[in-house]
Amino acid sequence: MALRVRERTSMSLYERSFLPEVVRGLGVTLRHFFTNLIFRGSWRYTETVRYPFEKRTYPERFRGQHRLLPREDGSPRCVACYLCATACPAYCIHIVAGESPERAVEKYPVAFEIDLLRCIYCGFCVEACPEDAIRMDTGIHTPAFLSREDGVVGRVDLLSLLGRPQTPEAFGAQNVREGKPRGQ
Amino acid sequence: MPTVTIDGQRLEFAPGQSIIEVATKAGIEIPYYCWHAKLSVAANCRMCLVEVEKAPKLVPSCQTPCADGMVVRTTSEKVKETQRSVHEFLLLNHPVDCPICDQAGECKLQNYYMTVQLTKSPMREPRLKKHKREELGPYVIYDAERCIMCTRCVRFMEEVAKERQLGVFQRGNHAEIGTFPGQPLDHPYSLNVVDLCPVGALTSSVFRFKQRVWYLTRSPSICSGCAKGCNIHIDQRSSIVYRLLPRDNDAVNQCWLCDEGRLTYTRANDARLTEPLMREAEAVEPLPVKKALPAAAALLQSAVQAKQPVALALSLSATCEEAFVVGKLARELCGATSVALFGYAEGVADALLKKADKNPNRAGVTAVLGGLGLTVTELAPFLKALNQKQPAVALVLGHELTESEVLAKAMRAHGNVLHVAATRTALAEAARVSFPSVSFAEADGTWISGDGRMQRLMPAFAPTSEARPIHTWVAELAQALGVTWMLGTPATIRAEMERVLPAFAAAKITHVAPQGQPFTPDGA
Repeated sequence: MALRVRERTSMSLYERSFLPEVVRGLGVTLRHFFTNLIFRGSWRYTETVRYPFEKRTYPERFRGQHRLLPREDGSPRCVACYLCATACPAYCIHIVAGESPERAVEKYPVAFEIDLLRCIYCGFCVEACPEDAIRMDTGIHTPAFLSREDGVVGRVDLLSLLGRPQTPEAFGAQNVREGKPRGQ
Repeated sequence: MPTVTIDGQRLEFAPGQSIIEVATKAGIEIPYYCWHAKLSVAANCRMCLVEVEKAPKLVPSCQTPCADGMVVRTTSEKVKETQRSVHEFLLLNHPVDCPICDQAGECKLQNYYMTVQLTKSPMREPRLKKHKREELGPYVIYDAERCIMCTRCVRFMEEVAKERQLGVFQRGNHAEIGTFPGQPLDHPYSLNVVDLCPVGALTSSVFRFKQRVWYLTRSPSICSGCAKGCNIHIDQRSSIVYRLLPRDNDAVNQCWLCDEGRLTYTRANDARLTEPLMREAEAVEPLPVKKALPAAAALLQSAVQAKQPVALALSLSATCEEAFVVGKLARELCGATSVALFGYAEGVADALLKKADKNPNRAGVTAVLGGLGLTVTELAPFLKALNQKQPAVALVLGHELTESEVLAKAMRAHGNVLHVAATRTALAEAARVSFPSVSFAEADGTWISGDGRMQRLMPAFAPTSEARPIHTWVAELAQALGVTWMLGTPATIRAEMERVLPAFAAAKITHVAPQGQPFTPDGA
């Protein structure tokens, strides 16, 4: 790819004062204000949500932060098959598989990390999982991080998250936030 | 020559050849599980059934010898329907635990399901439970549920390994592969059964769960385990070697590889020296190349200018090209008349593949250094000289060194030893300056096996650290001393070698085929 060098031009006094642009911006706000005042109920009316006092309810299939689903004994359902990592277009899932000492489960994730800073929330990992071990039904937005390392969420943290109340039930340990956990 | 018609193609065959052999050679694919070119025919998987004109039933193509004028159809509806049914049958009790199966991605059951079957399992009964994760031996783990009883492993142990350590136990649905009481599968070639297994029933405990196979990149190479020079495939991901697999070469290893050789993959990964080390009194510090190279060159230069003797020792794992540049350094700059050779200790040989000499390029290093007019010695005279502080400076150049207490002690006592090595052993810390070299997986050059076969060593990946081949370090040292050889790459070195050494004139590096070629030291 050819590299294009562009001269950085300095701003004129008119631009540097920023005042005209501030006025222009306020103009847009005022236009919306009066439009909404006059045309209430018409197609011109702009619907707004009084965030943060009001929050929109997300659709059921909203993809929030991932979580790992537990088995009844609390261990992750994940069998470290790498299918999520294979499907991931952002290469944000890092798994280290290990041989489980239990006879019933052969393979388990020694490490399961998702780099939320790389994740593009496409949901391919959820689609790929043959064990229903990973879901994006927590309804949590990506939190803000102070360092890149904080953006990497490990197995324990992913397991501790619960799904939203309307999430479909999964066979296993406590699964759904609020609402009654299974078996109680 | 007699001919047979397979799918409308008239193909010639040698008497005794089976239909599947002739078809495979001609590029006609017949699905199979139990057939293997190097093993006897069992004809028990029934996947290779084909239609032969005038035969009342379908015949197994692996077992049926071709006859003159025979007309075979491998893609007729009848054959396809049979393959579908046979595959359904093979998968009846299959647990379909592909997510945790190491074979997934290179599994014949998966491949043929997609190409041949593509129907749902008709099984209404609960699938048969058998034991999983049974340790047959130190390296092999058996999963009875996945097994399709092709008996390739049993036949391998009987016919190639010549030790019947595996057998078929029980009957029908309950049949499974097993070992005999008190006799685990501990044959030195046991990991070959893992390669042979067309499904995930036999898995290697070494490779198990380390990596999914679809992530691995495969490249041809040569085994560094002994002087046999077995042809291998390196499977690596992100410059980490995960396993070595045999590569077919009928002139060397056919399609087998010993367990010992397979386990040498760790040499490319473990305890790698990633940057130069410098030793000041007792402290060993990592150093950038920019500083380490002048320090080493100054040391060498002071000895060369004062006409003091410089002693050299070279690893038997070095490539011919590396040996050539080292030989040039010894003769032209150091004024040495001999180079000591060192390597792995003598091991055990066997009738199948293993050689007692555990160094991959003794023949090559000896031929190159001998051709340059240098005498090669054992390590003992070098050690003796080192202990007597005869050489002012010594160079110990090697790829993969096993820890050698005596050598490390002598190097430490001498104090002015330059060292090139792939691994950070006691030697690297005993040397004055150590430079990181490439492992066999990153090396480019040629090796000559104990049987006199020149084979090309291809790099599987570029070195990720500061590691460089020995010849690069030596050339850079020489350059710092004011001599420029212009021998930058193995190709330029080979061009010079072919000019200087008659034995190498016959075999140009670009001409060394993937399968290797015979090499004679006298150039005949």
